[in-house]
This record gives sequence, C-alpha cells and structure tokens, in this order.
Amino acid sequence: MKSKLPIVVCTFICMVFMQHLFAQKTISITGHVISSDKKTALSAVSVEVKGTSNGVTTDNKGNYRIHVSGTNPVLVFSHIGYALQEVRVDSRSVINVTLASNNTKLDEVVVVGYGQVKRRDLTGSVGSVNMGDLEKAPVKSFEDALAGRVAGVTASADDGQPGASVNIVIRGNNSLTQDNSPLYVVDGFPLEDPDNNAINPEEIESIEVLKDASSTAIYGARGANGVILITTKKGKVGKPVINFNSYYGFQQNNKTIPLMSPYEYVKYAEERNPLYADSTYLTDGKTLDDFRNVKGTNLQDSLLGRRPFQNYFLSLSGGSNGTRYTISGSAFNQKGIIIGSGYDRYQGRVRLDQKVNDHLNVGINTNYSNLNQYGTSPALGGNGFYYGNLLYSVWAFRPISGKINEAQDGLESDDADFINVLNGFNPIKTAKNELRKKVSDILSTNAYAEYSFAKYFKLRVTGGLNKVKVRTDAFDNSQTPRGSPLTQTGKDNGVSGSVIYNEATTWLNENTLTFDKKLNASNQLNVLAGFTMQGTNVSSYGAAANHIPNEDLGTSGIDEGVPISINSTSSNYTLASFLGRVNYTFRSRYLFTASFRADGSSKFAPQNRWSYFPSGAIAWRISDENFMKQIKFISNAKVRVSYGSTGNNRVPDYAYLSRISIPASGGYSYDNAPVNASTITTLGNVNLKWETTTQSDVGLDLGVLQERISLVADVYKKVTSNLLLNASVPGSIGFNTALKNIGKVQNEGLELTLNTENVKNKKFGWSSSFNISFNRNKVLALSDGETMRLTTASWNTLTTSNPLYIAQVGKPLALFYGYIWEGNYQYSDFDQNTPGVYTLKKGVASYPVTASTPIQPGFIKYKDLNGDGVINTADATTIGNPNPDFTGGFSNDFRYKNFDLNVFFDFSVGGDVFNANRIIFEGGGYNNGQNMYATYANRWTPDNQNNTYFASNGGGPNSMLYSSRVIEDGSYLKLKTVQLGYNFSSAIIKRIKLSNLRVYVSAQNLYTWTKYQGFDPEVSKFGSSALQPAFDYSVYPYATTVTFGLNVSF
Amino acid sequence: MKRIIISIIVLVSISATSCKKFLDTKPTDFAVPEQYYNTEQQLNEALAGVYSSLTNGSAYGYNMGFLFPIGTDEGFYKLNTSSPIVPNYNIDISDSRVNSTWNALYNGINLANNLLANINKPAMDENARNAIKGEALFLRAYMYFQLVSNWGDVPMLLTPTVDSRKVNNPATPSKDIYAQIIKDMVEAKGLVNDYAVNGTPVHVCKTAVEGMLARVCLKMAGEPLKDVSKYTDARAWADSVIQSHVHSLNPDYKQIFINESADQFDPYKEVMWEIDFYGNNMGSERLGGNWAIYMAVRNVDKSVGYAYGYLGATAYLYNLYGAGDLRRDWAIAPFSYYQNNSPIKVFTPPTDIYTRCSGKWRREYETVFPLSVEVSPTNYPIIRYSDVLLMFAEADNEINGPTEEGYEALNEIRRRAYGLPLTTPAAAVSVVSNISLAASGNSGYLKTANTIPVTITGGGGTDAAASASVSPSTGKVTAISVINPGTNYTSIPTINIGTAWNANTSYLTGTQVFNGKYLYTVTTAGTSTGTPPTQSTGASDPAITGAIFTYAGLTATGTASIGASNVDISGLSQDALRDTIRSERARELCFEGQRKFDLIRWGIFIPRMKEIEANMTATMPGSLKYAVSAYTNVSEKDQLFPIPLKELTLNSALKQNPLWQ
Repeated sequence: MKSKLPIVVCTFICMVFMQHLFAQKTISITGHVISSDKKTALSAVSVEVKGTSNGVTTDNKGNYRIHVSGTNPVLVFSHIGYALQEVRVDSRSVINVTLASNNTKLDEVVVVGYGQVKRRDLTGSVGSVNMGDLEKAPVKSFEDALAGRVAGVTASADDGQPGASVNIVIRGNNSLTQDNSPLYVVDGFPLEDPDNNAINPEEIESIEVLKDASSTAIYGARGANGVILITTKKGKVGKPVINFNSYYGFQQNNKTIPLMSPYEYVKYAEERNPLYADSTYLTDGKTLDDFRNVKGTNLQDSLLGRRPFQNYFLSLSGGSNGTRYTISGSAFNQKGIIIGSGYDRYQGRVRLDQKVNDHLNVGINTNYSNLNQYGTSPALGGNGFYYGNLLYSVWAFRPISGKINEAQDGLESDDADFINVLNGFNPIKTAKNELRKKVSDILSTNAYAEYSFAKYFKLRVTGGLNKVKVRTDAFDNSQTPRGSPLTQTGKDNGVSGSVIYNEATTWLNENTLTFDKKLNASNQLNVLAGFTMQGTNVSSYGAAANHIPNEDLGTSGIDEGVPISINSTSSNYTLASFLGRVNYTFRSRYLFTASFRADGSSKFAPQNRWSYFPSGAIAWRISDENFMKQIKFISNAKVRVSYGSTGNNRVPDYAYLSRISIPASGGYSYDNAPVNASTITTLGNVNLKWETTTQSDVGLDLGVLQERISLVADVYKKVTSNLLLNASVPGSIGFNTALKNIGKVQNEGLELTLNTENVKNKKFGWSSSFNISFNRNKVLALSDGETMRLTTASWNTLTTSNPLYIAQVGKPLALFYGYIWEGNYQYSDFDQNTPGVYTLKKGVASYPVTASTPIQPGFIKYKDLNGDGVINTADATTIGNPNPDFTGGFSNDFRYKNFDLNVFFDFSVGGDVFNANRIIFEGGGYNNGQNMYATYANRWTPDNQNNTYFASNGGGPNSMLYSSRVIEDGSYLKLKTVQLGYNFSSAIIKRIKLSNLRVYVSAQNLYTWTKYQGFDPEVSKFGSSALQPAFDYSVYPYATTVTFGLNVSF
Repeated sequence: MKRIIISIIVLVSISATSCKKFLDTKPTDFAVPEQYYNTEQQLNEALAGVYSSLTNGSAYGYNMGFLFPIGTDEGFYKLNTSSPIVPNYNIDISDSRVNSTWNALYNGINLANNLLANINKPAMDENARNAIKGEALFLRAYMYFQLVSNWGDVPMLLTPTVDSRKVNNPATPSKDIYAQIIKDMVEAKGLVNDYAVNGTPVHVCKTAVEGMLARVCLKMAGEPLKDVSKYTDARAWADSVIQSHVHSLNPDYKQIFINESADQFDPYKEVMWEIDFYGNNMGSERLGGNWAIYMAVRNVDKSVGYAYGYLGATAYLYNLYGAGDLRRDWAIAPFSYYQNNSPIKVFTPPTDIYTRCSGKWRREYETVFPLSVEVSPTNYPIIRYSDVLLMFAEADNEINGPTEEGYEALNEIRRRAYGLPLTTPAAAVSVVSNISLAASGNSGYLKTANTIPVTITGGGGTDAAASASVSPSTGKVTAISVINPGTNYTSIPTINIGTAWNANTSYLTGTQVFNGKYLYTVTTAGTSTGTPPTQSTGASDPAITGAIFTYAGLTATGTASIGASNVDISGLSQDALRDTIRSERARELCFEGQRKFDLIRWGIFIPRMKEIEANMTATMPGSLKYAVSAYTNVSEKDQLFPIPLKELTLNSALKQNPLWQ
C-alpha cells in the first residue's frame, strides 16, 4: 500500500492541474495504464469516450492514444478483473491511469458455456470454485478436493485407493441406470468421461459449475447432469516468470479396525467349533488362560503403512508483442498406504496465444499426461465369495497360532493357514505380487482462431483433439491367490495374465459467431450462434493367457501361455449441433437470457436423431432500482428465475440396433467339434431417444456491506423423464432387459452459499465461505406396471439372490432393503421342557434354519412384519436411506502478517451406509479359524445376555444377512484441508533475487468426526451406480496426507 | 451485415445437408439381424445358437438337467438347506431359477423365430436348408413343450421380437400350444435328416422327432389335457421309430452312460438325441455343463472328478429293482469316496440304502483333462430308444390292453437289464443278491489295501463276483459289494473274503492271505510249502511255511443271500401291466429328467410323493431326515411352476397359474 500512494497522489494532482489548462476541442490524448496491485502495464484495456462508440485499447506496454472532442469528455477505462474507472479529460493530453483490481466479486468474470459474463450479469445458477482455496489441498486432481466446495455439487470417492474415481453429482442423480456424471468442458472442449487426473490442478485458472437449465441448455443433450467448465491458466503480459512449486510429504492410514485379541479369539473359536479349536489351540495341555496377555498379530499393521507423497511443478510464462505463453510440467508420485499401490503422473502443457493483428487472435493449448495407477484393489466387486477380497484375509487371519511361543509374523510360513483355514490368501503376498497396472497416455489439444469484424461481430473457430490410450495389465504369478499352485484357481489356471489396450479419440470442431452491442444507454444485446461437430472413435484390443510357463517375464510372457481370450472391439459416434443464445439487458437491471440447442446424434435411429433443448432465464437486479439505493447496507440484490430442458445421451452407441454376436466362449459342439453359434444379445429399440430433464430454478444473490457478506440461495426442481432405463422386459419376448425411454425421476433442493469477510485489517484478515445443499430425489415412475425395482449387491456369492436396494415409486432412487433387526432371541422366548433343549414359544416368530439347527437362545432376531409367525421374504422392507439430508463445506482463510492459514471442513449428514464388513466380522463367515472384530467379544452368551451381538453360530440363514443391524449412520464432518503458509517479506526475497517465496505445511483428510465404524463413511464399493450407493466391504482405507511445500517465483 | 447473414444461411444449410451423412454412422463391431442370415454359414451359426440356448445353466446345464426334475419318488435333493429351491417344493413365485429357465426357453424360442423368419434368405442347397429349418422348428416346438408341460398356459410367440414395447402377450391355452407343437414337429419330421446322415445324436434326426412326438402325445393323453385319443398317435409314432430299425438297445446298460461321460456316441444309436456339452472351460470356450458335477458321487478330489452328489436315491427306487437287475448298482452308486476326498471307493453296506446317490454318470470316465471342478463335458440324453420302447408298450397297453407286441417291447428292456440276450425270451434269473458281513472277526487288514477280492464258490451258479472294501483308517473290511450277481444260483454259495493261502505259491512281501479264521501278512517273500501258517501270533517258521507269514488278525467272513427275479413279463391284466411299465420307467430312466413329468401326466404325483414321505419318515436315518420336508411341502400346485413374478409384473396380459395365486 505504501508504495502505491505516491502514484495515486500524483495522478490526482495531475488531474486537478490539467483541468484548468485545456479548453474543449479535438485533442489527442495519450497515456499509460498500470494495475494497482502489481504495478505492471496493462494491455488490452478498453479506453472509450463515454457516450460514444469511440474507443481504443492499450497496447502491450499499456500505452494508448485516443482522439476526443466534445464538451467535458469522459474517458472510461475498463478491463476484465479491474474496476471500471471514469476520468474526466479536463483538457489534459496525457492521462495515466492506475486501475484497481476488482475488490467486488460482482465484477469477476465467470466463464459460461461458449462465453463469459460478469457475475453481476449472470442469469443462471453458476457456482465457481474458489481456486485459491482449492489449491491449498495437496491432491493430484481437482476432483479430490472438490467435495464441499460448491453448493449442489457432491464429490465422493469410491474409496481411498490412489486414482479411485470420484463420483461428482450435481443436484442429485437424474438417471437410474445411466451415467449421472456431469459434462466436463476443458478449455471449451466438451468431454463426457474424461480422466480428470490428466489435468494438473496447479494449471487451472477457474472451475465453474453450471447447475440450472438456463446455463446448461447450451450443452443440450449432454447438459442434464450439469456442466463443469475448466479453464487453464493463460500467460500474462510481462517479463518471463518462472514458478517452481513443490511439496513432499507422506500419507498414512487414519484408522484401523480393532480385532479380537488372542485370548478372545481362542475363546470364540472354542464356542464356535470346540473340535477345531481344541485340536488347533488347546494342544499340549494348554488352556484358554494361557492365551491371556499374549500379543497377537495384526496384519493391518503389516499391510498399511506410511508412504511418501510428492509433487514438483515448474512453469514459465509471460507475454509481449501480442504473444502470451505458458509452458509447464509436473511430476507427481503417490505411494498408496497399501503395499505396492500408488499413482504417478507426468504431465506437460504448452499454451500459446497470439494476436496476429487487430482483428485476429489465434492460440493453441496442448496437454500431455502420462498416468500410472498400480496396485491391487482390495474391493473386488463381482460375485466372488466374500473371502476373495484382500482385507478379508487381513482381518480374518488368526492373531495367534496354536504354538504360543512361535514368532508371530504371520507371513511367509503361514500360506497354508490362509488358504486351508480361511479360503483366503496371504494378503501381504497378494499386495506385493498381484500386478494390476493401468497406464494412460492422454493428449489433448485445442486450437482456436478468433476473428473480429464489423465492430460487433466475433467469429470463433476452434478445433480440438483428445486422444486417450490406456494399457491395462494384470498378472498373477505363483505368489498370488489366482496363480498360486496352492489355490484352486491357481491349480486350474496356473500363472495367468492379460494385457488390454483401450483407445479413444474424440475430435471437435466448433464455430461460433457473437454479436455484442450496446444498442443505447439502456439496451445491451449479446447474441451467440454456433454450429459444432464432434466425433468419437473407441477401440480396444488385448489378450489373456493362463498356464504361463515363465512368470519372471510378467505380461511379456503371456505369448508363451495358453491363450484364453482375445479381445477386440470398436465403436464410434458423431454429434452435430446448432446452438444459439441471446442475452438482453435492459437498463442493466433487467436481464434476459434465452438459449437453444439442437443436437443430432448418431446414437439414435434416424427418425429420433435430432432433439431440441430450449431454456430461458430472467434476472432482476433489485439493488440497482432507485428505491433500493436508499438501503445503503445492501450492496447487491438480484433475483433469478430460469427454466429449460436439457438431455442425457449416455447410452451405448447403436443401442437402437439389435445385436448379433458370435462369442468366442459360446458356440455349440456337434460331434465334439465346437462350431460358432450366433445369438441375439441385445434387443434394439428404434424408438430410443434422449433422456430429458426439465429444470426450474429460482435464485437470490444478496450482498451486504460492500459485499463483505454475500449470500447466494437457489431452489430448484428437476424432473427427468423418458429415462434411458435398461428396463426389465418380460422374458417371454426373448430378452430380459431392453433400453427404453421409460420412467421418471424428480430432484428438488435448496442450496445456500454464504461468503463473509469477518475481519479485514492490515495485520489480520479472516474470511470464510460456507455452503450447504439439501437435495431430495424421488422416483416418479418405473417401467410399465413396475412399482419397485430391487437391486442386488454383488460382493458375495452367498447373497447373490438377495436384493439390498429398492427403488420404489414415490421414494428415493435407492433405499436399503432387508430385515429389521430386533436383537437376539432371549431365554424368555423359549420353552424348556427338557433340560438344555429350548423350543420357541408359540407366537414367537421364527425363520427357517436347517433342520439340524433349530433357533437357540442368543440367535439373531428379526422383526416379523406381517405377524404370520414366520420370518421370510414377505418381511423384508426398507431398512435405511443412503441419501444424506444435507451436505456442504466450510472454508476459512486467515491471514496474520506474513502467515496465512486455510482450514476447510466438509460434511454430509443423514445418509446411511451399509457396513457389510460387519456381516462377516461380527460372527459371520463360515470358516472356523476366522478372527472377528473386537466388538464381537461382546456377543450373547448365557453369562452375557444382551441384544447387541448374536451368539456364536447364531447368525441365522444367509438369505437374511441384509438387516438393519449393519446399517450405520454415515454422517460425517471432515477436517479436510489445513494449510499454514509463510510468505517471506519482499526485502528478503529481493536479496535472493526472487519475486516470491512461500513455504507451507499442508494436510488433507486430517480428522473425521463420525459414528461410522468402518474406515470411512465416504464409501461406495459400486462406484457411481445410482441404484447401489453407500456400500462398504473390504475397501481401500483413506489416508491422511501431510506435506511440506515451497512456492518460488523468479 | 447482409453479407454476413447470407453467408450464415449458406453455411447452415450446407452443414444441415452434410449433417445427415455425418450422423449416419455404421456399427463396426457387430452384425444386426437385418444384415445377417445371408449365407448358409450364417444360418448354421444361427441354428447352433438355438441349440446352445439349451446348454446354459438355466437350461440343461443345471436347472433342467439337474435341479428341476429331482424331488420325486426316485431321488431327493441331498443338501440340507432351508433356502427355497425347486426340489424342496418351498419356492415362491419370485424364484430366480424358475424365472431364469423361463427366460432361457423364450430366449431360445426367439432365436429360432429369427432363424425361421429368415430361413429363405440365402440361396443354398434346398436339402441343407430344409434340415436347418426342420431342426429349428423342432427345437422351438420342444422348448414350447417344456414351457407348456411345466407352466401350463403360456404366451406363444412364433415371430421374431422386434419391438420392446410389445410386452403384454396373453397366454395361449395349452391345447393350442400342443396343437402347434404337434404341427411343428410333424413338419420338422419331414425336413430333418435321418440319423444316418447326421451320424450322431446331436443334430435332431427324423426318428428322434418321432420319438419326441410319442412323448408329446403321451403327455396330451394324460394330465391335464387327458386327450386319450392321443394314445393312438403315441403308439404310432413309437412304432414308427421301432419299425425304422435305426436304433437299438446297447446290450450293456452302463455303457450308455459311460459313453456320455467319455464324450462318445453310442454305437447302437440307443441315444436318439442328446445335449452336447464340451470341454472343461479351461480354454477360451466355455461349453461344459454343471449338471453332472452336481449329480455325480460326492468327491472333492480333483483327480477322479470333483462332484457334489446332490441327488440322493430313494429307498423306493432302490427296492424297485429285482435281484440281479444290473441297472440298480449302476444307476444308484453302491459306493462313496473315502472321506469324500480321495480316489478310494468305499462300498456302501447293503443295509445302508439312503446314503447312496445317483451313479449313472461317473466322472472317472471323463476324457477331458484336467478335470474341471466346475463343469463336465458329459452329454445329457434327452431321448433314448429304451424310452421309445416303453412308450410304445404304455400306449399299446392303454389302447389294446396287454399284447404280444407290448410285452416284447418291455421285455427287450428287461432282458438287457439282467444282462441277457435281447431277443431271446427269458423267464427268470436266480442270482447272488447280497453279501452281508459278519460282525465277528475282521481285523488286521492292510490299511493300504482299499479293495480286496471276494470269492464266491458253490451255490450251483456261475459268474458271480464281489469285492470288499477295507477301511484305510481301521483296517477292517467295511462292506462287500456284489459286482456281478451271476446266474443260476440255486443254493447259498460260500464266501471267502480276501485271498486264501495256497500251497506252492510264490508270495511277495506285503501280500495278505488267510487260512481259516486267521489273517497273515507275508513279511518275507518266498514260495509256500504244503504247510499253511496256523499260529495266532507272531511270524511263522520259514523252514516250515516257505515264505514268512506273520499273524495280522482275524479273517472277515460274509454270508451271501440269493434271490430270484422274473425277467420276461407276461399274463398281466391291463392295470397290472400299466403299473409294471410305470415301475420299469423308473428302473430304466431314473435321473434322466423324466420321472416328475411321468408322475404328473399319470395323475399320481401327489399320492406318490406322500407315500414316499411316509416311507422316508419311517425308515430314513436321522442325519438325512431333513430331506422329508420336500415331500411334506409338496402340494397340488407343484404340478406346475408358478409364472415368474417378473414376467407377471411386466406382462399385464398374463395371469398367475390358479393354484399359485
């Protein structure tokens, strides 16, 4: 501030002085424009004579020359990101101006579809991510830090695996069976399923989230799930700047699950199967008491550990003579907390913008990323047995062997114990040896030419290419569960491996024409029209083999094995669109937006190819009305209303066609000689069309005390109809499912964002940002006549036919479904006619157990809903709701002298989580030597007649494993990001010839407040599936990250 | 400004026209039905597709080949479970397996409909076209036959499904479905090849179609249609097969099933049509079937073949067999595997009937190695010539009462069952039916011996042979099994267990011999003298006995019983012959998926099941009593499956079968 003062004073004195010197006539004025904060020249500042169309812009050095005439001319200086400034000429010929950078957020420019507007002029609901805050999180991708940043946006990871996908959903799930993820537009390139890890978050200038129909309809058939616009940083005019950012730190698991001690374990084994336990543990005269105070093995300690985490980023940027450039590159290495897993990224970007002449600007922006995700996934998915998952073997492993004094490392020598006793496999060996690797090469490039003509017109032509190559390797050597000669699959298949390449190429051409004119003092018009074309080709090819003789060769050796499959697929689709938008502003208080997009997609049959998506919005800036000007403390008030329709085209290519396939695995054998057999695998639907979402939104933007407090509130209602539903069809037509436009879903909600500057003075500053969202979704209709849809969770062969989720008309998309748990059967429920023989009293409901095991005291008890005395499928009901009541985030920025501190919380309240781990590890499973969670020590016994945990072997039938017993409240408050930084003072920096130097310590996932008993309530084993949320079984635990970082600029 | 607008209009119109082309992409990775069925090759692929729809787990791979037909008077589901499952008669209308089989059959029907709709598309040899068309027609009719006999009135769709919105298809009355089945099968009969042209029973041949027509007609003549006029047709179709002389009985009953397991085709062409399973699913092809794994004798040892043994034989079936009927100990395995976990067969004592399970298909005969633990290449016979003979006898008896022709058809099967020449009349056999083990003696057998010979001498007969099991854990003989009941035994023969001591014989170390009530192990090799060992402890003196015989224990002894059976049947009343044929069908065709179907069409399903319930309750050992529940549960409604809940929910034109409502 001190250094700015003389300039401001000088300018002021000049102005006053010059006012008296010149009379009014046509004069030439020159000057220099600099920015207030950095004292650098500002180029491309618009300099206009107020009330005329006479205007120029400053050159690269910030100089301008303009001819003015008339009485008391006033020059208007404007530039994006700076406050507009009006200066009376008052006969001066040299006017130097310092533009103050915006301190009101209203003048911030917000990127919207095919353009940008000032926040002041926004008519739609657009959330901006505070990049300053987001950058404080040490993460590899913006996705990892997006949760809680923007109202209405939920971003939850499947689990804690490095590179695990993050499910980003904007304003609730629209679609039951199709993809609900938003459309990503990276520097203008719309991509449906990009790998967001390809983008280094340090290169992102801004992230905008388009939420309502008015802002997303310009993306038509792909806009229904919302749109996330990502803009990368552009070089700034000035001398070359070199930035070096780096951090180094570590990750550590933040939770382990307590397991039974050796004593409790042996005690339980005795109850469960005395025959087994006696012969295994109570050998050589040992008694249970001998196991007291023996320290047991806990494999969680061996598998999970502290691992390094590091990132290096170097960039060079600058600009002069109409050229702006930035070149950057980064290396990121993350080792996962499970042995042998991790994620690496090597990435580089070149961006060049060139002004060719006054009319033509061109530019290119290219990013290349090499991504390497590796390590076994503990959550298998699919219908294996529950004991195939990695963490099963970790938790289930006996804490002690029969020989008390034997070394308890539980590793190399214990293979047989894992395989024969647990049906599992040594998890340390699995993690070390199972090769699961995914290497992606992603190249995306974007070029544009922008031609301005006839004053108000701008033609922009862009071309883009996005090429993704992914190589997926899997190799199971003889030290893995699939390849070990000790296991059944290993015996059958030997060492096996596969390599699969996937390629996807998307190209894009967009042509837009913008007309932007201030018609007169009170009317401003901005019209956009465009035509775009996009095409995608995908292909995959690969091979798998087993009985590979030389395992040392890894996947290179699969050619020597016995081939089992060759994979080769390809497909393509094209999209052509016409789009248009009109923004009309009347007296800068009444804002109107209408947009329209026509999309034609090759995914649909010719008669349904085209679809049209209109939208409209009105906004009223009340605060600019005269009657409001009296109310001084209100600095901004705007009401927005929008309505429109958007689409979702996430159907497989050619879904309208029936498919004939000749699978290599199929065929029919005549005379022991298999021949090819063709079958019709999919029933096409020529009537297939887009899923359509209509959305209405009413919003209020309110700013108080010069925007020190600002509030954004939105209520919305979305109705998605013609759902692209993989609908059940009656088997009698020869198929089980067919894609149909059927069903309806509604989402409605409220979003609030509150930004405040709590304290603002020279030494100390504190600002905070709070947002909260409430979304309620509901199924309005399913397939014809279908009132509910049950969905199974595939994690365990024993429960494949038991549904866990229900989607019911009038209820949320997914609710948990199963039996209501009522504790345990107690002695009072039984008659005892002969000593030790208990038979259930008349009227006490029972479930069928096998004939040899009638219900005993201590057995698990379920509610007999219909009161018929028998607990069976008719008693299954809704037992939990995975949908949170509300979610949000709370960010705080503190500044004290040269220190800065950012603290960010993220929360979700009211959603349930299904903790399937507890089915297996609280008295479940069927392997005698299996250890249990420590909680199960409190099981029912004749001496401990409680209602919490059922007695040994009292878990009831497998068909009733899904009960409210293992449904837990998944509410949480996470201290997600904390960063404490220190900026070295300019005096020190100058001495060591730097322009900026900052050091910091930063932490991610620091602490979670939750009642959830598993690793973390933010869990979704089934990924983004809208029908199967919040399921936990053997997932990758989350890590706490702590890093030490350095930002240097030269 | 004008120029700009004009150029925009031009640009837009150019792009609009080129758009149509631009958006008209073509699939690169699959064929669509409209562009398929163009060549003979493609018709053949489509036909293989129809056949293959009968191989998956919902069809003969598991549900139809194993699970659905059991739970009858001949066999029970041998898994102690309370879970709802078809053979326990405790399913509800949402049963997933009933649903999946329904879907699989209709899926196959739709494939056949597509093939038939396009059958005339390619230019090709008309005979080849006819064969494809005939097989497709037959397969569709066969699948409808399965639907109508298991579910009753069901939707009948005879054209390809093209519109996923046409879901509400009402049920066609059973009568009309049967009429269509007969019509299609008759047409198919005129189109398909003769067995000789096909060379194997995998492609459907003319005589197989005729045999199946006989089965369809018998079903129509019985419950629930009771169109007794169809007996005449059934007799005629069966007779047509017999008169063709294409098929004959394999003189060795067990060889039929060994061939199925070994992936060989019966040289006597007794198997007329079978579902072909292939391989062990260890390469890229996955064409094995699960059914044989579930049915074969329980064993987790992979070298003999992993199997569940989930099909237990009832005492009712066991006792249906007359003494000397060779089919009994083949169809019902007289052994289990030692601890279910080794290649060692342990004979089941004659007194223990209930623990036996189906032994018709034995994994030890499979020829595709390594043996898979999940699938088997064993083929599933749908119709055999012996079935045709029995159907002929049954229809003939219903129309004419007992006739010579009817008796001859039945007796041919019975003679084979007793190992006698097929066409030579045979009145009766007298055989060694059982050998029971004495409670005394019996110790000291080598635990590694596993099986030791049993000699049968005297009794006036010939050829009887038996074998005894030695327990690997106790060294005692546990059971004796009659391997061959022999012929013409008139008195009880003498049984010697193990090898008797012989004079002047060279003995190797480790052999065991008995002399009288003592058992000896040769501890030093040598040639025996004329003096046998007689000591009851320690080793013998080599100077006296030649080799050294060390006392091992007491010889086990057994007692044979002989039994007689009538072979040829004659002189029965119509009712008695009917009963005999019904029992003969169980003896001959047990575990081949026919019994439930038979009992239902005869209208005796529920009474017979209740009879078995009483029988089991009275005689079953406690450890197997859980199996009774199926027979308690079964009721009238179980003569049909419920229409699957999913179908009912989505097809509003369909109603649930009345008893399942």
